Amino acid sequence: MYRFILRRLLQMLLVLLGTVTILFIVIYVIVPGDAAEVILGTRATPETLASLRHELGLDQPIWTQYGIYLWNLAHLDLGTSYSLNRDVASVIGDHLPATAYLAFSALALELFFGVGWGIYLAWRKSVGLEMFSSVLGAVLLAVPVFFLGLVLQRIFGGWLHILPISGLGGWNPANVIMPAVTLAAAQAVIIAAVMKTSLSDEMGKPYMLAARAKGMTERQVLLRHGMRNAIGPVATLLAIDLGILLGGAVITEIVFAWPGLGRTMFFAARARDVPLVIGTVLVLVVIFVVVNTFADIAYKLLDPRVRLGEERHG
Amino acid sequence: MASPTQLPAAWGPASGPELSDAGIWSRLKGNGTAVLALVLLLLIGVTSLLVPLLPLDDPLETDYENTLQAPGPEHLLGTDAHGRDELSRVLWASRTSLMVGVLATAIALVTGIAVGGLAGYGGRFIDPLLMRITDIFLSFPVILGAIAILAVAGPGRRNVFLAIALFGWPIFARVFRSSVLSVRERDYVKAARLMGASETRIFMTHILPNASAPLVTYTTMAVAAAILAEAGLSFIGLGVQIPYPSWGLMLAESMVLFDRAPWLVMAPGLAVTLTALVFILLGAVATRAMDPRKSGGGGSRR
Repeated sequence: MYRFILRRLLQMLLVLLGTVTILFIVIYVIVPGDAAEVILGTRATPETLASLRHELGLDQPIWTQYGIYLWNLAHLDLGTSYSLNRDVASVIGDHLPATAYLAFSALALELFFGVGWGIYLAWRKSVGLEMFSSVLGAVLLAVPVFFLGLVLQRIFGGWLHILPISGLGGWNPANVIMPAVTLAAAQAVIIAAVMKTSLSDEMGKPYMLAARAKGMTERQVLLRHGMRNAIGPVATLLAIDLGILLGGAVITEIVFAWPGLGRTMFFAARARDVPLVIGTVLVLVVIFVVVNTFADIAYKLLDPRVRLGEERHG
Repeated sequence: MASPTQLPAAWGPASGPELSDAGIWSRLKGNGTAVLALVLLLLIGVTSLLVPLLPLDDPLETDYENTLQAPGPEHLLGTDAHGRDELSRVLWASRTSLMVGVLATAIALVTGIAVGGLAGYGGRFIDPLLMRITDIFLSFPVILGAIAILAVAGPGRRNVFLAIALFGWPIFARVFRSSVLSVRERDYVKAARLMGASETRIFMTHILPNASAPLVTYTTMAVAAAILAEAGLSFIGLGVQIPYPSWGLMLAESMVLFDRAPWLVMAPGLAVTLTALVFILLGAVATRAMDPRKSGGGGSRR
């Protein structure tokens, strides 16, 4: 068990190192021109360019620059935003809570409605209902989040006036509903489908027959035994989901004027503010990798088959 | 935003049983979804190919006398804030969307097959190396990776599909590798080897065709994801640039006009949705056609 955790953590560090290296390559190798040109624009004189290059360390050999880059990262120094003229790390720190709030609200919606709907599907065993669910899922997967967001905004904010159209509204829970629903909709139906399949598989197993023979009602069997053993695949899916949420949040935040990292990145990208864009991507990817690793470890720790088979079966 | 990693999970990825083409086609027959998806695909594909030949207004020609006209006989889908014909712009944008979707996926697929194939054959040193690199790229949600590239390299259609491909290939590499590993051990491959066939020949005639089956679902889903990614990137201003038509960009331009001219939001929005839906349905159809459980073969996938 400890060996597994250790191996998984080492693997995580390796992936993180690779991730930051890719971003380094993106900035320093792919860029047409360099940061100094971007900052000063095309009308800069060669002298000012040279002095800014020196100041930014761009005249150093690439390996030295890579070393400096890693060293700075290790000290949580993500550079300075060109457009805001502020420390990138502190800009990100300001906007991270709003994104986390949105992502976790969406995750909670996904889990609640996805698992609930999945259980209902498994319980009803209705072919028609399942068909409806998969068509709905396909359509929701196909709708771009910004289109779904705009339409919801129009219906619930513009016409019915029951939900606020945009903004954080001073962390008012009513404000998070629409963006979270927009983000969660497609994933919830996917979770429902996975939950339903997993639960139906579980319900056909012999120990279920034993539980039924003992006189448990179908509902008790489903909720007490089925749920517990069928939730595994859903848990695995949730960790992957976080990446989709973080990616989708970028666009959802723009539609709903949500003051999170996605919106920050949007303005930064428009201003060609490379340090801020790269810093934001880096933070989001790091969160994704770390959460995935810990979800993996937690899953292993919680899996009864790993915990020496001490799980009671009824 | 959907990414190729997540899409097939819901439908249950095909676990790579080898099936003859005849087997798949016989199961496609009498399947309403399949027929619907194929007909729609044909319709969208043919329309986008024929756009230059259709009697449409110039998608870039502005007419400030006739801005924000409601749909009518003159302009079937109305005009936008610059008086440009919306129908023409929606149809021209389909070319961008499909081109980015198909091209980005094609590049990702070929790269994925190359890396996955090499890893599957690579043995003790190359396999783990390639798979760690794959893991690293897989840690970027496609849209975030693409935003990073586009913010640095500049926006535009070509950069969009390169960026999507750059972060889209790892899933193909991973799926193809595990498929190669299982096919390599099959008896007919061993037989071919015993009969003295070269490794290249074995790869081309036995492994590639048989190990590719699971890629079908992922490929159609990846096209849908790439189409959605292009729309999203253009929506946030990092993709196709004004004045060129792209569904995402058209939505971004008209979102503030939703009340006055809802058709300007609905037309491109429904166009992306329908196009992505066709590829998602194809993926679902492919998964079902290859699912051993549907053929009565039995056996659990997990």
